[in-house]
Amino acid sequence: MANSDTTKGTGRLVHLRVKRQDSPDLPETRRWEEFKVPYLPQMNIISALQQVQKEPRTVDGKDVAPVVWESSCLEEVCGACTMVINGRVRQACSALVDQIAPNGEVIQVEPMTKFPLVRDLIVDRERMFQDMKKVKAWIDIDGTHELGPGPRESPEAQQERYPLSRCMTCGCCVEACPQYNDSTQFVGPFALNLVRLFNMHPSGALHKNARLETVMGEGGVQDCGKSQNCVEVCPKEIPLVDSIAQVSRDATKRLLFGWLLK
Amino acid sequence: MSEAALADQSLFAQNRRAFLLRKLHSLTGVAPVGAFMVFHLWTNAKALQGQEPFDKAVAEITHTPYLAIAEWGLILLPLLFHAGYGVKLALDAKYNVSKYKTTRNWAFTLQRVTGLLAFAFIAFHLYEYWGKKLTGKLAPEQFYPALCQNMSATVKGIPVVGLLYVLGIAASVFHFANGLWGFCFSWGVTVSRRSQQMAAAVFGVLGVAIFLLGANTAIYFATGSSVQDMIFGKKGGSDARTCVDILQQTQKPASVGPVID
Ligand code: HEM
Ligand code: SF4
Ligand code: SF4
Ligand code: FES
Repeated sequence: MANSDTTKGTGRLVHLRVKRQDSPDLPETRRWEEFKVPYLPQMNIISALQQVQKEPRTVDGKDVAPVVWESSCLEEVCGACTMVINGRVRQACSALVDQIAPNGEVIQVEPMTKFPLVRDLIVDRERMFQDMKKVKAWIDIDGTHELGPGPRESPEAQQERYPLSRCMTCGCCVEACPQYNDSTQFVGPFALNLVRLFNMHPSGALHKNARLETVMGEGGVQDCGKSQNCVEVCPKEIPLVDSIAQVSRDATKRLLFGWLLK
Repeated sequence: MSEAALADQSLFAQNRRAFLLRKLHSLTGVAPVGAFMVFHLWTNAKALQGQEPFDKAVAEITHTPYLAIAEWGLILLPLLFHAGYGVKLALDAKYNVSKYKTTRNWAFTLQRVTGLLAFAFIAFHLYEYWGKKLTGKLAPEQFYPALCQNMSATVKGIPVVGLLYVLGIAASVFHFANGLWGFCFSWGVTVSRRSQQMAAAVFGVLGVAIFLLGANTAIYFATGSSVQDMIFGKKGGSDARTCVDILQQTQKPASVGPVID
């Protein structure tokens, strides 16, 4: 990373407004703090936060504890750095300063709102992992005996399934989903997509009905309110609405005919 | 619960309660509640032909066998369930249309807002006519003159109650039309994005048509002229008593005439 002496010359500053809180049990520490850091070429929000970390001093000259956040891959494949930037949920590592603040506009950075806060920009996405467990988002192979090669797959089926498999559990879709909140137990669009994904898999399909039954319970597919925000914000461009519609159809079929076909 | 038990659910299994309730909510919205609303707006349109045809339609309904059972079982209870559960749904959502301003997110928000508006409007409307009929304050033959008078009464030249009816009908019809779109999605009828767009167009046109049907009657009660009267001029000839006659008789000439252009 370029050292600050070489870049300070450009004089360009990046202006961040960060929502902070010291710990989950200290809501009274919730506050906005503003920072100005030197611009670096191709800067993204993570590198801007790294600059804040180097010298955590607010615009009014107050020295503060460094802002904390999560990130890992830095190339929009792990989903760890998801936060709300200028009111829209996205990955901080792919949020380029040149694109969101080409003229030095203030960039507002907040943690996601649908998960318990840990500190500053870090939230606990545990609920998403519970959702995945709820809907049996896996393929059962218990490893006790040799199963031989799996069933062959056509390239067409593969092509249909691949986009569905790109989910990185980042949380964008549930952050934007009005139905995913503390009043509901909704498993969320990403989990419904996983139901479709695993139900399409030749081995996963063996447990299709059990998986469907999970989304016909509390917090299931019926909780989708059809706002279609999820598909608008998914960074992996997963056709979430198609998946929800397909799972809805499968659930309806199972509701209407499942008991007949027992 | 074991895998086998899960895969072997009976229709009304305990763990499906939330799902079944939601499906019942969806179903009651379409029929009987929605279907009744369309039927109701259609019957009301007879008012345009004057009091006698309207009273005849009202009398036919009043003399339906098992009316009370039908009213309660087929309309009020389903409506109460749909409305009650609907209010819960409206309160459960975490609205964010100010951040994510897409058409569907607006529709999602408006579905809940118009639900609440419909709730208020229907409560007011039921109190005014059905409630007063039950308590004997208003006989069915008095509906027509009461409607003319209530809806045409003006405050500063504006027929307030008439306007309230047009707005209430607008909210209910939007709620119904968008609800039908949602119904098709959530029951898995429209799976592809294309079929969803087509459904939106179809239900959009249907909604506008139902709204015009309903609003026209309210406009007629409020102004003495239906929209077609205003455009093509009044057709004479029928000798049925009209709102204009009633308002002249009761010497309340206040707002007869095209208040709404
Ligand atoms: C004029 C009376 C009403 C009619 C005709 C009606 C009709 C409908 C229809 C057809 C649906 C679609 C169901 C679905 O999405 O699958 C619906 C949904 C809904 N209704 Fe009503 N409804 C009425 C009154 C109400 C009232 C009084 C409320 C109370 C707030 C309400 C709240 C809702 C809500 C929140 C939904 C959304 C459900 C969803 O998106 O899945 N409705 N309604
Ligand atoms: S379409 Fe359904 S799942 Fe997607 S954001 Fe809207 S309510 Fe949530
Ligand atoms: S579906 Fe998309 S938005 Fe949702 S968690 Fe997966 S990658 Fe993120
Ligand atoms: S750090 Fe992995 S997605 Fe941003």
